[in-house]
Order: sequence, then C-alpha cells, then structure tokens
Amino acid sequence: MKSLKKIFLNGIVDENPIFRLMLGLCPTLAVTTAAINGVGMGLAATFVLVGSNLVVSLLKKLIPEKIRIPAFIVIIATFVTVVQLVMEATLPSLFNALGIFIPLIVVNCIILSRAEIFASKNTPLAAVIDGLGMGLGFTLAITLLAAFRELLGNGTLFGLTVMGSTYEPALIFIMAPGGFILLGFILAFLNAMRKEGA
Amino acid sequence: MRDFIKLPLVLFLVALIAGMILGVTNYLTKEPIRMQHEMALRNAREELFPDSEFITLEELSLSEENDNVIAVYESQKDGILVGYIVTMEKTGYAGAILLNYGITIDGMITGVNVGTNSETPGLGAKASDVEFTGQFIGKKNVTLVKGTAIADDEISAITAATITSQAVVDGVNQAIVVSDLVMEK
Amino acid sequence: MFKELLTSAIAIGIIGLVFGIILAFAAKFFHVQIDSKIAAIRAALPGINCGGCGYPGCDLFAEKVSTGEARVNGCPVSSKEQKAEIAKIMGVEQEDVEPLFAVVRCIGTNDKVTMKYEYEGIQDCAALAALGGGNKGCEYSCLGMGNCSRVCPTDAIEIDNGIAIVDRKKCIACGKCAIECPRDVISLIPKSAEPIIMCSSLNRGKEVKSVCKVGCIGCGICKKVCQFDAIEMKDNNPIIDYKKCEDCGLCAEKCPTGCIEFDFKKRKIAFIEEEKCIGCTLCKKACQFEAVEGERKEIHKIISDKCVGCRACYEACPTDAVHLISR
Repeated sequence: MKSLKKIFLNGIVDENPIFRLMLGLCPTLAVTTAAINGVGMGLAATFVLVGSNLVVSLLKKLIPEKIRIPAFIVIIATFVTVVQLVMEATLPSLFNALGIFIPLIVVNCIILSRAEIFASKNTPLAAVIDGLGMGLGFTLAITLLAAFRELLGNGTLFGLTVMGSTYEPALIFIMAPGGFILLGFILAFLNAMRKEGA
Repeated sequence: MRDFIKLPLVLFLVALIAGMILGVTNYLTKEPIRMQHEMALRNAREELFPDSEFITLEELSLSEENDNVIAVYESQKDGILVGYIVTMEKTGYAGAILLNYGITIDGMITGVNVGTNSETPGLGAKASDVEFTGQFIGKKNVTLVKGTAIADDEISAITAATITSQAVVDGVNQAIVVSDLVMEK
Repeated sequence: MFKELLTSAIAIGIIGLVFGIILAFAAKFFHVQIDSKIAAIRAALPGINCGGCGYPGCDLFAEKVSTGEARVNGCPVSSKEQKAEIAKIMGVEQEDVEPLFAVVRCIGTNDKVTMKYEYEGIQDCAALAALGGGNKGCEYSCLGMGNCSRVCPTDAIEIDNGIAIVDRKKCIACGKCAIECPRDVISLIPKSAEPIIMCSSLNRGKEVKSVCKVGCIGCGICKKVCQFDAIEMKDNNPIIDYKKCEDCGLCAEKCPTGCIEFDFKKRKIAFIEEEKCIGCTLCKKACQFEAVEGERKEIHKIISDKCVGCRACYEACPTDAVHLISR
C-alpha cells in the first residue's frame, strides 16, 4: 500500500490525468478558453471526485459486481447535480460560462475510472487522498492550458488585461484548433523534460 | 434467484438515498436560484428602462414563429406606457442565449441586455460587452455587417463571432415585431 | 418539504429498482462461463500490460497461464508474493526463478575500435548495419544508434561513446531490446550474474585484434582457469554457465583483452564462524584455491591471501558456518 503522500502526489505528477493518463480531455479542450473557467471546472470536478471516491470506497463491499457501473454512475451523478445546483445558486456567472460541461462531469473519464480502478479497491482515506490528488492535478493542468489560451488569444489573464493594447490577440487559440495545438505543445515539452530528467 | 432480489434492491437503495440527497439540495437551493434570476431580471430592466414600473403581460397568444419569446413586460413611467421589454431565447453559437430587448412604443431600441449564455469567452461572449450592445441604442430595424457599420441601421459584428452577433440582431428585429403585435391588442 | 423530498427519492428509487431487475435478467440470460481461475490469476498480476511475458496484455497472459501454456512465474515484473499467489491458484509448486536482466555484449566503444567509414545518416542500427556491415570494423559489434534504447519501456538503456549500456537496476527483462537489436548482441542473463562476457565476436586472434582493442580473441584462457568448469567455448566465444559459476572472477582476471566484465570491488571474502564449524573439511575440499586450513575435527580458517571470494565453500558448508563478507 503506497503512502498517502505518494498517492496524493501521484495524481499531480506521475499520473496527472490530463498530461499522463490522457483522461477527461473533453472538458479540457472545451472550457479552457479562460483561466477562471479552468479553475472553476477543476474545483467542481475535484469536489465530485473526492465525494464519489469516498462513497464508492465506503460501499465497496455492499455493491454487487454486476451492478457496480450503474451504482457508481448514480453516486457520481448525485454529486454532480449537487454541484450544479449550488453553483447556479451562488456563482451564476461561472455556472453560465461552464454551461453544459457541468452535467458532463458525470461522464468525465477521470471520475468513473478512479472509482473503478482505485476507490473500489482501497480504503476510504486512500480513496479521498487519491481523489484530491487527481482532482488537483486536473485543476492545475486545465488552468495552465486555459491561462495560455486566454493570454495568447485574448490578451488577458483571469480577466485582467496583461498584454498591452498593441497586442493583436491570436484568436485561433480561443478556438478548438488552437486548444489542441497548445495542448500538444505542452505535452511535448513535458515529455522532453521527463526523458532528460530520467 | 438471489440475484433477482439483491441487484434491484441495492440499486433501489442507492437511487433512493441519492434521490433524497438531491431533494434536500434542491429544496435548499431553490430560493437562492430564484433570487439570482430575479436579480438578473431587475438589472436588465434598470438598464433598458430606468426608473420605470413593469407589468407582466399574461396571455400573449403569439403565433408559432414567436415560440422563443419567454415574456413581454409593459414599461410604464408615471402610469403612461412608454415601451416594452421583450425577453426571448435565441440560439447562438453554443446553445441558447437569453436576451432582453427594450423597445419604445415608436419601435425604437432603448437597449439590449444579454443574459445567461454559454458563448465562447473572447468571442461570442463579447456580445455582453457595451461595445457591441451600445450600437443598438436609438436604432430601429437593423442589419448585421462585418467590419465597420456605416449606415444608420447597420450593426458591426463581433470579429470571428458572426453567429452570435446575427442571433442578437435577429432577436431585436423580432422583438420590434412582437412589441408591435402586442401594442395592437 | 418532505413531500418534495419523498417524491424525488421514490421516483429515482423506482428507476433504480426497475433497472436492477432488468440487469438481473440480463445477468442470467447473457451469463458467460468464465474460468474463475483466469480472473483470480489476472487479479494477482501487476496489470501494467507491459508485454514482458511475451503476450500482448495481462488478460491474455492470465488465460495462457490457466491453460498451462505460460509459465506460472512468467510475469517478470510481478513480486515474489504475486508469483506465489499465481502458483497457489494453479495448484503447483512455485519454482524459484532467478530474475533476469538484459546485457549488451559489446564494449567496443568508438575509441577502442577501428572505423571503416564515417557515417552520417539515419540514426538507426538496422540502417547502419545494412551499409556494408556497419561502420565499425567488427561485424559482431553493437552499432550504438540506439534502437534498443528507444524500445526500452523503463528507459534502462543509455548510449555512450558508440555502444549501448543497460542499467541492471532498471531493466525488467521484458526482452524487447533483444528482439529489436539487428546484430543480436543482447542476451538475458541472471540479475546476479557477476563475471559477464562482453564480446559477441565469433572471430579469433588477429582478425579480432585488428579491428577492436577489447574484443575476445578466442584464446580460451578463461575456460582453462575456471576451477568450476563453468565456461565453454563455442565458435571462439566463451559462454558462462551461471548454474556452475561461483563468482570468483578468475576468468576476468586472466582474460588478456579485458573483455570479461567483473566488479572486483564487489569481490567478497569468506569467513568461518568458529562456533558453527564442525570441522568436516567439506569446505576445504570444495575450495579450488587452497584457501582453507584446518584438519578434521579442527575448526577451519580461511587464508585471506588466497581467498578469491567465490561461493564454493559457502555452498559446501552443511552448518551454514561460512559467511561471505566485503573485504
């Protein structure tokens, strides 16, 4: 059994869901048009991940093998709906910005896969730490991507103008192709760092 | 045989408890959500017709092509009808955009308020900015152009966000028609 | 409030119930007899799908183990406990198999060999080998273009000065490098192997010397000096039988070209624990270097100057009185 510290750091570095496991790419590319959206989506997903991991781990002995998928999905969907309702009540602008991608957290690969691979086979504490690690890794990754896209494509960062008025925003970075290209560059950079360091 | 009892029972219990949690959450957030919507509406009204009273028009009975109109409000100042606020939904680039238009009894636009939407930040989301919506004030029927607007009835589209811009323009023209229809009644 | 709560809870609850019943039906109708053994074996594996067993995935390996086609300890990255678990599932005795690692049998670095030509082309060993047998004079050499390094799943291979070197600790013995090498100079040997033959040349004498300073000239001295008969010469190339090898390092000491790798620093020395020694002289008989003194019923002692740190006496002692310690 790995130490809790190792489990936590695993989700941020070694098995970062976006940069290493390549899971949850759908919201990654869709909502990273502004840095604040990245943070919002990341934290919402982290809450769901921690919650569902905890519940799945607590119930792991009670859920029969044959219905584990519907059971997991119901648990995950419940957490997502709670997040959605709370967000609509307290953070309406973020809620609108994330739009349909909040309900899509239900089928975010990261959450179901961690429930299946980790939470259903480990203690509740380990599952919570894994959820935190993976969730934060996800948040950091998409916020990084979103920061780049917002900076290059809009000249702002978290809504504050950073690039001077003479900067002509490269709109491609806000659009889908730009997102893919930028993600590709980040991955290439990280792979190169890994190879050299190793 | 044991399966036939265990599987449905477990799923029933999981779903039941999930349903209860959701019921509680819904109950707790219903009021704040309603208040959020009300606040948005109040802000919109202030922007379009400052210091006025509003009466919600019931029984709109509009034709099918105006199915996207959610509500029409009469705007009155000191008891006199000055115009209407037409609230509708138009499909933009990334789904529905909630739009509130202020139209005077002469068919002139007092303002455009862009409500909840999921347009792309930096592109379609710019429709909420005053640089775009400000163009509409004081105009009557408008058309969308790319680049600079020259004639009086032209609206300059947001760069690389033509679909969103077109939706707002189509909406305002529809709002003018609707306010005319309502006035006739 | 309670009415709302109850409605939503019951509504979703009923949906759950209905689908639960549907799934129960489906489980019955579509039931597939899976050998529970396969699932158990699969659960005991590390599950990283590395292909080290030779099969394209852990699921298939588990299947092959259950049918007996694959060895019970065929997964090179599984722990001892996991191997024991799989053996238990299959109901067989777990043979203790030595973990292996890959070694590139060539130390012909760019400065030690004669080059036929200067190569400026695709950095690919197969491409280079196709050009008149490569740029190094020896036709059995490692070409150092890094094909093996690129396929290694654990980044255990480094290219240095024209040859490939495998990091013994990182290697998981998956065998991909051995398959990839177009010159076939990579073999899998026990991880604890100490003297290692580092040349693959099948030529001898002048033919080797003229193209490589550190190549094996096929003189056979290693075979002659080995006290344990662990070395055979095949086509001018020595092969060490690690079952017989006692790690003494004499072959490496006597090799005239220095092509046998042996860490002399690691050489241990034997030490007899007096309390446990029963004076049976078995160690003395096993020692080929006359490094044990002491008659029958007398406590034996190691003569440190003669001891080469091989394992003969250690293995011969019936009372575990011999210990191998660092010098």
